[in-house]
Amino acid sequence: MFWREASVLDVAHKQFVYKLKAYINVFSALVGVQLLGLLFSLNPIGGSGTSSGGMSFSAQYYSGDIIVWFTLFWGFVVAVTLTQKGYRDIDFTFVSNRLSHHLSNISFLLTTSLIGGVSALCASVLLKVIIYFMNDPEVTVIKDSYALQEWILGVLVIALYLFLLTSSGYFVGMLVQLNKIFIVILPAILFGFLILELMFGGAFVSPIVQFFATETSFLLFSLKVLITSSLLFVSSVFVGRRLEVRS
Amino acid sequence: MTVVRCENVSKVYGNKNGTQALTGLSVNIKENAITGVIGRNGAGKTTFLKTVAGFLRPTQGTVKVFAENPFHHIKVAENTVFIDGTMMFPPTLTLKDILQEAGRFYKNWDVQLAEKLFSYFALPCDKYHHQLSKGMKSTFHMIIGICARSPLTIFDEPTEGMDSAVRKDFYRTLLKDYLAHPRTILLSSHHLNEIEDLLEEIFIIHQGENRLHLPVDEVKNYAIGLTGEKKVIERICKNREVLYKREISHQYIYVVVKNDLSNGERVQVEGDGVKISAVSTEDVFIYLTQQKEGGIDDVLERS
Repeated sequence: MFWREASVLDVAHKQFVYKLKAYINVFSALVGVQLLGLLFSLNPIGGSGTSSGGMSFSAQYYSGDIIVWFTLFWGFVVAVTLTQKGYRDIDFTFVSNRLSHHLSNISFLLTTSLIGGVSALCASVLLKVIIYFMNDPEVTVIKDSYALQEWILGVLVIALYLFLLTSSGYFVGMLVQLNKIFIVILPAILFGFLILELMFGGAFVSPIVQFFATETSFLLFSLKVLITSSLLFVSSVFVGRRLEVRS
Repeated sequence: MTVVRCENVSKVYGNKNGTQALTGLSVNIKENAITGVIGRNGAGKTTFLKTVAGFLRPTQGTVKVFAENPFHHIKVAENTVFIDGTMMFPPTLTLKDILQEAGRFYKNWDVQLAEKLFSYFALPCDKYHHQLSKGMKSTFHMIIGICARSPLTIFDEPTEGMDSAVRKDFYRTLLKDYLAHPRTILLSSHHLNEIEDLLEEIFIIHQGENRLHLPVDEVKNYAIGLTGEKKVIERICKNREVLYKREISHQYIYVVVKNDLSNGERVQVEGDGVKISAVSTEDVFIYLTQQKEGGIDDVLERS
C-alpha cells in the first residue's frame, strides 16, 4: 500500500472514456430521433409551379429543420438524464468526486454535441438523396448550394446550439436534483414568460432568442454560446456542491 | 496510524425534523486492520460507512479519512472502494467489460485474481449486471472490492443473498488477500459469529452512537454469565450493570454482567454455588444493543 497523489483531471478523463463506452445507447437514440425527423421532413413545406408551351416545371421546398429541432431536443434530454440519480451513482461506483463527475459529464456532452451536429447535417443530405429518388430521378434536379466551407460551418453551428441546449438541460437537471419542487417551478416560469410574451408582444423571450439567432458573425455567435454554456455549467457545479451520492 | 477519525459526528437526513441516523459518534479506525462494524437494523452502520467514504455530508462533527475531509475529496475517493448491494453499473456493459473498466480506476487492481475469482464463482462473462440474481450480484461486487486492493476497503453487508458456501469462500478470500496485501477494511454484517474469526476489532454502533469499540479478544472476555440462586445473584449484581437477565425457575436466575470480577471474587462467587459461563461475542452484541431489559421473552409472556 502506498499513498498516491490523485488528480481530478486524470480521474475525469477515465470517467469520460468510461461514459463513451457505457452510454452508447445515447447515440442509438440519436439515430432513432433523426430518422423520425427525416420522416417528418419528407413532406414539402411549400412549392410553386408553372407551365408554358408544353413544358411544365414545379418547384418544391423541403427543409431539414425538423431534424435539427429533434436533435436539439435529444441533446436537452440527454443532459437532463445525466444529472439523474442513477447516472450519478454509476460514476460513484468507481473512483470519483464531484468535480471529476461534472467534468466528465461536460466533456461527454461536448462530444455528443459534435456528433449530433455532424449527424444532423448528414441526415439532411440523406433527406436530399431520398427526395431525389422519391421523385422521378430523370426529371428531378436538386438545387444544392452547399460548399465544403458552408458544410463545416453548418456542423459547427448545430453543434454549438446543441451545446447550449445540453448546458441548459444540465442546469435544469441539477436544479431538480437539488429540490424536486423545480419540476413544478420551472415549467411554471417557462409558461409564465410565454404568456407575458404574448400579452406584451415579444418583450421577454424574443430578446433571448434574438441574442443568438440573429447573430451573423460566426465568431461572435460561438463566443456568445460558449460563454453562456460555461456560465450554465459553472452554476450547475455550484448548485450541486452539497449533493450527496449513493444515498 | 489512524485512517478514519470521527469526532462527535451527527447525521440528520433531510430537513431538521428528518431521521437522525448518527448521534455524536466518535471513533478511530486503525490502519491495516479488519474492523467489523456491527449494529442492529437501522443502527446507523450504512450512514457511518457512507460518511467515511465521502458520499454523505455529516450534519455535525468532523470526519477525517487519511487526514482529509472525505466529502467529495479526490484523494480519499482514489484510495477507497465502497461495496454494497446497491452498486450501479451501466446496463450496456457486460460483466467482463465492467471488470476491465474497474481495473482502469484502481491502481492496485489485480487482473489475474479478478479473472480467477470470476471463473471460480462461475459468473457468466457475457451477461449484464441487471440479469444477475441477488447472490450473484453480491459475489460480483465482492470480487471488485477485493481486487481493487484499495488502502481503505469498505464492505457494507457484502454477503446479502449469498449462500453459505459462497459466504465462506468470500471470508477466506478476503482474509488471504488481506494477509498478502494488508489494508484497512471496514466490514459490516449481520452475521457476527460468521465474521468473528476474520476481525481484529469490533465496532458496535447502537442508535447512531459508538456503543463499543474493542479488539475481538477483549469482546470475547467482555462479559460473563452467572447462573445461581436469585438472592446470591442479586447480591453480586448490586453495584454492577446487568446486561441481561433471565429467570430459569422461581429460585434460579441467569444474568450477564461485565467481566470485572477479580480472582478473589471469582472464587467467592463459585463458593456460593454460582456457575460462571462464557458469553459469546454474538450474545454480547445482542445484550449491548437490546432496547429494554428482558428481550423477546417478556413480550411473549405478556401476550
